[in-house]
This record gives sequence, C-alpha cells and structure tokens, in this order.
Amino acid sequence: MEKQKVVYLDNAATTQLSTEAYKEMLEAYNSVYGNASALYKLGRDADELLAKARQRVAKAIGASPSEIFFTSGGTEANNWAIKGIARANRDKGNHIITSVIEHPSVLESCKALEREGFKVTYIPVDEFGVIKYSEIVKAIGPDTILISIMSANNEVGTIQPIKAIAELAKANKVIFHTDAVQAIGAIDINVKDIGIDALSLSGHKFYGPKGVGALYVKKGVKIDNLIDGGKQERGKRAGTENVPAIVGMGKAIEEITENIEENNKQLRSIRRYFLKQISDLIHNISLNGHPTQRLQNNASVAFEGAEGEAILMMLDREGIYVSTGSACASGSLEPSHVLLAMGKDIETAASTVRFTFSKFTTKEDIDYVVAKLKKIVKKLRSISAIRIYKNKVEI
Amino acid sequence: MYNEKVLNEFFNPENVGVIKGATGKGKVVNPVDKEIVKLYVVVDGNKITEASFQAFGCTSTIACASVATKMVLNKTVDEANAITAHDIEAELGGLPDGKKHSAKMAEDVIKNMVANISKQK
Repeated sequence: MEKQKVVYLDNAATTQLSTEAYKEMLEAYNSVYGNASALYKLGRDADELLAKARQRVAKAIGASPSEIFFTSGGTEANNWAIKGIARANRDKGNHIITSVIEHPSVLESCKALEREGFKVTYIPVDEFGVIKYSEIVKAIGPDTILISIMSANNEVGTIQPIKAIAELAKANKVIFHTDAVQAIGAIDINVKDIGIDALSLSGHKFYGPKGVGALYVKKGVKIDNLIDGGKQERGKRAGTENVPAIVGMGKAIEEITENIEENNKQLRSIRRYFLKQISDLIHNISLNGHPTQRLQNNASVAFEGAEGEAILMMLDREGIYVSTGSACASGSLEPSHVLLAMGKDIETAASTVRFTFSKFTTKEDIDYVVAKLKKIVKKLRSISAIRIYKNKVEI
Repeated sequence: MYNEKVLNEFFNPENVGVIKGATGKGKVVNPVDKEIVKLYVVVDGNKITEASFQAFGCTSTIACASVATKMVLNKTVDEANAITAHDIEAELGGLPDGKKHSAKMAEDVIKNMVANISKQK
C-alpha cells in the first residue's frame, strides 16, 4: 500500500520536535540521568545542563537566568503568573485587567481569582482581534495590581501592542504579564526593552518537547510559590526537574530565536501562496485576524456554508491535520470565544478552520492541501442547508 | 472519538438534497452553534416513500441526518414521529460525549416535519 501523504498544519497546537533538540535530549536521558540536586558528579552534570538551558531561555528573551523558572508548560506558567502575582500583591489591591481573547489557562485563572474576591476587567477587541488599548486606560484604577495581555493570539494570530501596554502598566505601577506562548520564535521579544514583568512560554510551540515551559519573573516582582517542597527553582516550584525536556526546550528556543527573520520570511511566503491559491479556487471565503499586525504562520479562514469540524474530518482522511478555532475549545459546542469577541457571527465562527504552518511546510504541501480543500468544501456545500452561490448566501 | 459507523455515514451520506414536490418538510436550527438540518419527505397514502436531507453541521450532525432519512422510510407519519434521539444514536452505534445534540437535532427535524404535515391537514 502506498504511504499516505501527511501535511501537518496545526503548528499552533504543537510542533514537530527539532532534530538538534532531540539529540541533546537523548544525551541527557542516556548519560546524564542523575538528580540535579545531588552532590556527586552525575548530579552536578545534570545541574550544569539545567544551568545551560536556563541561560539559553534567558538569552532568548533578554532576561537574566535567575529570572527564569521552569514549569510543566504554558498552562502552568499562566496559572502561576496570574494567581501567584495576584495573591502575593493583594495588600496593594485586588483588581486585575486581562482581555476577552486570552487562552483558557489565563481566563480560567482569572475566574478562579474572582471566586477568591478579586475583581477582573476583561478588555474587548476590535474586528481584527486587537485589544482596545483605550479600554485598558479606562479600566486602570488605584486597586489595579496586574495586567495580563497575550503577545499574540493563538486562534487568529493577531499581534497585540504589548510595548504600549507595558509602558502604561509601568506608569501606573501595575505589574505586566504576557502570555507569549504563540509569540516566542515568531516575534522578537526582549523583556527589558519592552518592559515586561512576567512572561509565559511553552517548549512544544517552537519545536521543543511537550510538558515543559518557563515563567520569566522580573527580579523584585513578588510572586507566591507554586509548589512547596525542595529547593528546586529557588524553592518556588519544587520537585525534581525534568532535565531532558528542559534541555530540549533550551536548544529549541536558541535555534528559533536565532532565525526569527529567516523563518518569518519563509512563513510569509507560504502563507501568501496558500491565501492566493484558496482565494483563486474557492469562493465565499473570509479571513479572520489582522491583515498585517499578525503571526506569519497562521491563516484562520471561514468557508461559508461548510462547517469547520466537518472540513477537519474530511481533511484528516487525506492526511491533512488542521484545527477549528483552538484545540483547547474542541469537544465543546460553543463557538470560538475569540471569533465572537471580534464580532464574527456564529455561522462564520462555526465555518472557520485554522491552518498553522511550520518551517517544514512546503509549497507542494500547500498545493496538495488546496486541491483536497476545494473538493471537500464543494462536497460539504452540496450537502449544506445553507445554499452558497458566488457571493450570495441563502438560508 | 467517532466510531467507524458514524464516519462511514458522514463520508458517504445518503439521500442528500431537496425533493421537488415534497409533501412534508422540517427544519431545525441549533441556537448554540447555528447548525441547520432540513428534512424533505414524500408521504404516499400513509407511508413515507421518499426522504432526503440537507445539513450545515459537524460530522455527527450530517451522519445523524443521513441515518434519519433511512429510518423514516416506509414508516407511517406517526411511526416516524415516535423515533427518538436514542434510536438514532443506537443506529449509529453511539456518539461521543458532546455530540449527543446531533441525534437530538435529527429527532427534532422529524418531529418538525410531522408537525408541519399536521398543520397542513
């Protein structure tokens, strides 16, 4: 049987592991298996690997190694940042500002804090998914202790004005946290230049392994411990470190941040090619997100009259892997909270498919995807209870 | 997530489209995600002799609508009206959690079709 072609276009969900990161991880697994807290050489070697990885992560975002805390991933980093900072600074106030389009790990952390008595303001976005800066200005009050705004959105790829928000936070003596899980490796982020007080990142979004991430906390920012126990992560996040995973993330972040420009150039070209092809071949489609202020690896497209999950399942049979909105939201009937916040109607949200490219995506892959997509959308529209004519819709 | 039966029905739906001269029509819209299912039937004497559907919906909604058109065939209008979401789901060998609404939509579109026929009388 001929092997089916596989085209993986769900890179905002997770990425393929970098070969170089994998090699370093194997070495850590096989030869440096000591506990990094142990005094003997095998332990010291593991501790050295941790120090090297911490250095690499710090360098990638312009931080000091002592400001980097390893976590189990982006969700843990977001939970820790929001709950840990809010609780540690409660004596200064009880108000938090975030946005309506944050990742569930941020939104649910904020809801948990609301149950503890904190007040949370959820800032709306415009039609392109850009957070309304003027609403943050209005929301800041004497009780505001934390602003948490993502660097770039995971569903539609819109990049947020975090420098302006960081400056606003600083002027008002408010701590600024950013969920940079989608942005690391896609945009140049220097925490000192931008003025970021806390930042979350996740290894598997930039060709590192799953189950590992980091939280940057600027020196002097108060944050509660996440896990009490031993002295790992300076006593703030106890538990034996997953050395091989941390090593893999360190290598991956070094590789990706050294090649941001080159990667973006390639991704921009792939994205443009994809959009040109689908616009030429499939009618009644629309794009979600900002036209220019955006991640180059993301194309969020609505296909009128064809439902997103049905498209996903038909693409799956052809070896093409995509997502509807965000994978975190799949399994729920509710349409994407991000698309609705941007003012899209429910039908558009339900017809949206997210394609996220990687450095491995080729034009040949795109040709294959677009050819299959054209047939699939045509088939689903032939079944659809919504009649689609060129530029005309009838329900 | 989906079993083979559901996937097979989704990839190869039967009785798709509009029946011109249908004697009964039904339509349901899911208020949460705006999925739409339409059902068309021909009732000859007391029996449903033809049935077709159109659906804007996910994998299981298309599968349930397709299977529903087959389940109502050769039944009386009253017998069709007695078909439940449970019967439709059972016919497909079960649906994943979070997808049960698809069978309910198929039940509701049959009931809507029957109600519309009753109104015409």
